[in-house]
Amino acid sequence: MNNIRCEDIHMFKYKDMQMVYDVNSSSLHEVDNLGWDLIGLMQNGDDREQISTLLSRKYHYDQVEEALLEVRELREKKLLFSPVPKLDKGKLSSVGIKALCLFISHNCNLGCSYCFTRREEEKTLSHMSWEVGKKAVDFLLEYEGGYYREMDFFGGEPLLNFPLIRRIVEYAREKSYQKKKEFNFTLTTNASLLQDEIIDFLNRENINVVLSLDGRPQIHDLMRSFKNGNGSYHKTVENIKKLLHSRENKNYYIRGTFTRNNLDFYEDIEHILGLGFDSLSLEPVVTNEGSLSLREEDLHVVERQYDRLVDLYLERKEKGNPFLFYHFILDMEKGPCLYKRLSGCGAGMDYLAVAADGSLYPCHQFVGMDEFYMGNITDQQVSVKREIGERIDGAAWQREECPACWARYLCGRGCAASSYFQGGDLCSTYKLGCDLQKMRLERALYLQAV
Amino acid sequence: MKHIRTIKKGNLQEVDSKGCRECQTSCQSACKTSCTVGNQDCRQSDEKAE
Repeated sequence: MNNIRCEDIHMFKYKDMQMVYDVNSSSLHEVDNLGWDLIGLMQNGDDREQISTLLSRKYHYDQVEEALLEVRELREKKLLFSPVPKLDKGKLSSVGIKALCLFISHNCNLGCSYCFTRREEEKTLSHMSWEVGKKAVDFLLEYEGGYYREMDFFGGEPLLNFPLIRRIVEYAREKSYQKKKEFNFTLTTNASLLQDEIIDFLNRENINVVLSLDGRPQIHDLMRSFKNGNGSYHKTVENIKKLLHSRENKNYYIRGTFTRNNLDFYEDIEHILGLGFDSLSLEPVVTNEGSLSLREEDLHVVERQYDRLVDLYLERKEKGNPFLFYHFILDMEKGPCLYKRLSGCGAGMDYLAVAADGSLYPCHQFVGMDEFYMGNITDQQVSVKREIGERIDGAAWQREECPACWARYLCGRGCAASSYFQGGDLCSTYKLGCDLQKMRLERALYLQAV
Repeated sequence: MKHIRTIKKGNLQEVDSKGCRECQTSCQSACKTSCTVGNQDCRQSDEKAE
């Protein structure tokens, strides 16, 4: 049993289960005490004879041999201690830009305390023009490969400039049909401006929606108030209900944020579920605002929330009333391939953000930053500074901790913006973010087993 | 097997036919502030994809 690398196996206990995750195949096993001890010793690099001797002190010899055979069989099937997959590195480079995040408007009718787009809002308050929107569609269709194109209507609040969204969608449908491509659209909105006409349009065009709602009224209103200071909770919930009712509760995510103000965010998830919304994601805040940002010492409280969430997940599943929590969804058998897992979100490579004036950036979180300016979509010959995307992509390979991390094929190699804003530079690791990610992943793996 | 129960057989060893990059871009989905790919779908079985 040579060439065993301890970073290729992750052993963890959760509730009453002992689990072994094989990193290079992404296979998951449950083991008994003998299996746990055996794999632990093998991971430490002990040879077969040593292992057999050590384990025979605690277990019957025949059982030890039996377990050793099981490991061998799984190893032969590449499900345990599997080798590092041989990748075609050419497939890791960008194929072309297939996804854009459009800042339909930098304006917003809300003034959320943690908003990461405020930086740009302070610089320029503006709507995107039809010229920019049209060029964005043309730009995505310039790339000949692949079938799907993705466009996210973002802001600010994109519905402040709804006529542009409608025009872009109509144009994109027509152009993509000619080019034999398909556009998938997502709208990220605070929901406060959803009117019947808009709802009809979103449903007719099959547009996915990401709806911002943080949970309990007092939590939501504390962070998400209108510009006049009034809370947005009631309007938001009223409109979300109307929208979801009209689309039979399909094609949506409730996307909330939790901060230091609601470390007990399980209560917010329960509140959201209580409203009848059963597809959700509650994300840790990304901010440098000290009073809101999460700290190392908060982790045990956050962990407790995820534990409660696991219990609720199982309870509701058993009662035939399941819900989707974005970070607990894992498809290990038919999910994304290794190339996808290593190319991550594709910021600056497959995916760009477009500011209202047509400026291009690697992703929505870098918009407005001169250092990450990649060109302008309105230029007659759009020249994209691909070197910025390559810098972001390259930095992800330089993070020291990643090659030995068991979650390296599950995390999408982390978020470049988090590294930059929280860790200090693109090559740094945002440790708190990684800790949270691994916390959620262990629970997601556990949920595969029960 | 008595001591090891395989719960999920992962797909990461299958690399030859993969890498078409037709899958959804992570940040177009729900998170917007954290990159997670384990929960994305593989579209390779979609007959519309090239």
